[in-house]
Amino acid sequence: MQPLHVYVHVPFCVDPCGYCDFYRGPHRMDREKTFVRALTGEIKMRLSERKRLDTLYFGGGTPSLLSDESWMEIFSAFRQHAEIFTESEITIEANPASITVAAAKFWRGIGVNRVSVGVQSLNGDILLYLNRIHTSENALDAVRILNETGMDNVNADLIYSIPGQRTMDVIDAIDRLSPWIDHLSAYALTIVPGTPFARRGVTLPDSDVVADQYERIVDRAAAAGLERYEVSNFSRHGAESRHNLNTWRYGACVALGPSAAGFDGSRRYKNIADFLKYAKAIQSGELPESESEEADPSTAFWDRLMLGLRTREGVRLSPDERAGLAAIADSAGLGDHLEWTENGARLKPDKIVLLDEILTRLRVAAPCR
Amino acid sequence: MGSGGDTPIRNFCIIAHVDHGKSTLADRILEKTGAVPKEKMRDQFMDQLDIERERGITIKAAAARLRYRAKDGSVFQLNLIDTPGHVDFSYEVSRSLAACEGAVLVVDATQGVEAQTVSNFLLARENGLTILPVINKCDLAQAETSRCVKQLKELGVDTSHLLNVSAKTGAGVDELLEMLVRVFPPPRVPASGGRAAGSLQALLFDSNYDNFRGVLAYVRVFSGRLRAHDRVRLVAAGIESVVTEVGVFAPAQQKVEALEAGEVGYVAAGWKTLSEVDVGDTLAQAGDLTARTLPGYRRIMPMVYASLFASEGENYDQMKVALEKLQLNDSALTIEPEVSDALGFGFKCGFLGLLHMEIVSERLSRELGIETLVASPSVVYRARVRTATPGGVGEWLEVRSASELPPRDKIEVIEEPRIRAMIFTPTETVGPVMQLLDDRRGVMLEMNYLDPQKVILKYDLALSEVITDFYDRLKSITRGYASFDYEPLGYAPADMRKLEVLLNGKEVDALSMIVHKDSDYRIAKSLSERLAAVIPRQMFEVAVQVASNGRIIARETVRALRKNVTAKCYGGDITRKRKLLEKQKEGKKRMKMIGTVEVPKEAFLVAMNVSEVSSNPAGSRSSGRKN
Ligand SMILES: Nc1nc2c(ncn2[C@@H]2O[C@H](COP(=O)(O)OP(=O)(O)O)[C@@H](O)[C@H]2O)c(=O)[nH]1
Ligand code: SF4
Ligand SMILES: [Mg+2]
Repeated sequence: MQPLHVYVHVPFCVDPCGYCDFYRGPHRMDREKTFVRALTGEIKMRLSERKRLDTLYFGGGTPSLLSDESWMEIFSAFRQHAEIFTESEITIEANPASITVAAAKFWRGIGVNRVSVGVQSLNGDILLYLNRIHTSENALDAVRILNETGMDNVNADLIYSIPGQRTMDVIDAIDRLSPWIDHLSAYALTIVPGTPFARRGVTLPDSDVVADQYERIVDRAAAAGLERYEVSNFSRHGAESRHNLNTWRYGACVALGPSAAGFDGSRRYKNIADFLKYAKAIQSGELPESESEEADPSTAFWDRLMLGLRTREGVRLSPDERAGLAAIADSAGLGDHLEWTENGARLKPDKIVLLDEILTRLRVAAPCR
Repeated sequence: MGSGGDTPIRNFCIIAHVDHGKSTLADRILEKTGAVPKEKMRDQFMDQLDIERERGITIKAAAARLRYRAKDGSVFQLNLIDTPGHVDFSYEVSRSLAACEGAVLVVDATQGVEAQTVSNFLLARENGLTILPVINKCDLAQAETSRCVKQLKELGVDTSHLLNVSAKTGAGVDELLEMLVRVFPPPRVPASGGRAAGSLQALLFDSNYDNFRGVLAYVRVFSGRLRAHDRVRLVAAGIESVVTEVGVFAPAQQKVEALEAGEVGYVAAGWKTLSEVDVGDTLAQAGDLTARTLPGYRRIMPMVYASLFASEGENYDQMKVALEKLQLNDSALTIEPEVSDALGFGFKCGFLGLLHMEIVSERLSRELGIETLVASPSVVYRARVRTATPGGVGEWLEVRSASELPPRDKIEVIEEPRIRAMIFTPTETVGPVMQLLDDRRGVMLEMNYLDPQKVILKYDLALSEVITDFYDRLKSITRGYASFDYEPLGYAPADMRKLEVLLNGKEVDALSMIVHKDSDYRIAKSLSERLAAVIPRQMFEVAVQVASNGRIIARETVRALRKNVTAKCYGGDITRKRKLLEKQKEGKKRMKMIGTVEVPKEAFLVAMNVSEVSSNPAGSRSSGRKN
């Protein structure tokens, strides 16, 4: 039986962050109730056959805002429609401000074994600049609490390439967090159109500065035992995020909640990014989708490369595909950027930073179909 | 209207510096003589093409036959021949002038004498015309008529019949008409040269293409008579044909039975293309074997070549059709197909000068609704190549672009076209103007004061130094007060170098150019800097080198791209991310691969505009120059 991967989007936040373009709205109890009702409805719709749950990921938004009752309801719905084991990786994203010993114990109790903490920075000025609702003390407390509660896997999210940020800030954060975490995500700030940062015309540091920061981060994380296994993700041995690896391996994933994007192996869909419309669709028994696309073989091939080459393990390829890619890489003058594994290919570690450039070069060199 | 018969004839033209009021004055004359009723009068009636009207440029000469009743009751046939006003067309101007006996020299009372006032005056005088100076715009408060008169006298213009007019209000125009029939001589008859008196000699001073009748040649009959069904010969071209129609411009075309000696009109004789019918050629009876061309004839040769490409590519066929259509009415335009590695299919076009080039590219854009890219304008160099046998006489080659340059060791000497430039400029700007001319390898020939406020500089200049941005620079350092005109001055040896661009060691043909030794460092530096600025950072370092005659003299480096990867790529990002990569791919596809270096189209456009100041690509050059 195919293992099941599920993503849930929880669309609530206390106060939007300046750089964020996720779909989310204000958190109120009545809205939470509506959401939970709709979500359980969607679970019924999408998880029709009881499958073995490999990973379950609650992202957002801020899942840690949900009340204990809501969690109980959601988990009982999942237990009804999927088989949850102790090995199932169950992650929730949490804001440091909402992490307490009690909350951590509760989450652990219902089966959560991985918590991803939105630390972003341990510099108070930068936290203010990002409009985060927590302090650096909150964040350090949070990872310590989670660690001590016996979470199998604690992740901290950091952001670099922030205007005015010193590389030392990020390095220092890694040092201070690393005793408590198993996993680290370090994302370069990106200015997404429509966000407050974009409207304010925030400009990113020079790309060479960003490249330097990234190199320092990769080195420092490794020194702390957190090894890069994807462009922006680092972990202790065996603590990789199985949920995300599944995505980079082009695996299927059922996505639930407003604006969530899922994939069944050939079809990609996106749920309506509107809380009320989403809830209404489910109430009337319809799939709450706003987009759906079936991947043609060429799209699928390039999607697999786009995702797989982000990772340390690389992309799985058939012998034919491998030969084809080798020919393309040669004609693009990129033969020496790739390494060939027995069942696929990967980028040389120092070339991963150039992935987008490499992908477009490969695509230009590829014979068109 | 009958033909001349015994009605006395006056053939004349109006000449002026741009914007001094030539077209407006022509309008008033057409109105006063009743040729065009007031209600049908459009401004600038003689400027037939829309583009002429819009830009205030008179490109195509037109002619109008007018009937004028003088105060004493006598009736005259006036033929007003309009002349193109710009130096690019100076040969055509001179042919139009050759068809006249008189010229009305218009000077704007607020501007005074300018460069083209002088060049037009000199051309008219060379052609033996009687010149009637007229000070225009006298309705304006700033009019400085006495200063103008002084300037004209200084030039050597006979001001004894000078008139003050306002082409705008019409004041003085009646007096002008009275005066011109008095002072302009009746049509002259060329020396018979031993030929039978009364044998046909007609000067072709312009031509036009008509879809039904083919080429319409505009002629001035000097002797004999030209009738429909005559069998005629173009003397220089040696082409015989039968006249299908003769007519006059009244000012609308109107068929007549014959054009008599002294008259001006048009002829159709089954000519299919303008290339057969050269302006300046002479029309004679087919059987008249003694006929010679009237003096002054020469073939028009392009002075400047440039490559035209459709900015959107793929519009080649459309462009070809449009260019051929333009050529029907523009015998000076030459076209030949060209393939550029970088810019695709296009045309190498020959032009009389820069204005001509601008007009063609503008008309083309208008016609096609697409922007055209004008790449690497170049003058025509001449190179003498060594013969295989020592001591043999080298052969001259025409070189219209760097790629046509023979290998260096084969070249004995390169010659470049020179011009005699005349610049009128306010006295206080003389310093900077002379500096500019000096920078452009100018050699001073003369410097005179027209009056205390205005200086006339005459320079021997390299044409190649003028075709990039000279005029824009001149205008900017004189705040628009300088005027400029030039005439070709033949070829002179010059130490020209071939600049080659190398990207990571690989030569890029489309970026090479011919430059003078004195400016190779400056241009190489500016070229390498600007190329480095438009070439995007790539996965490896890109060395941009510029070599002059094979020796590297400038180098810039495009640093390697160090990081280009999306920070996050999870389930919800995949579709968007894929689209982004697709877009980047399309962008890359439009780039040209030179070895492994990706070069955007802009890089090729950068190369054609080498001066350090001007940032407009040549395709969108602003045109300060007009008339
Ligand atoms: N005030 C005034 N303006 C005039 C007069 N003659 C021409 N203009 C203006 O001067 C400008 C140039 O005239 P135009 O006839 O196009 O000059 P061209 O370039 O010599 O043909 C136009 O704006 C005319 O309206 C005049 O006598 N008085
Ligand atoms: S908490 Fe997370 S989801 Fe909410 S606004 Fe901030 S970054 Fe976005
Ligand atoms: Mg005009």
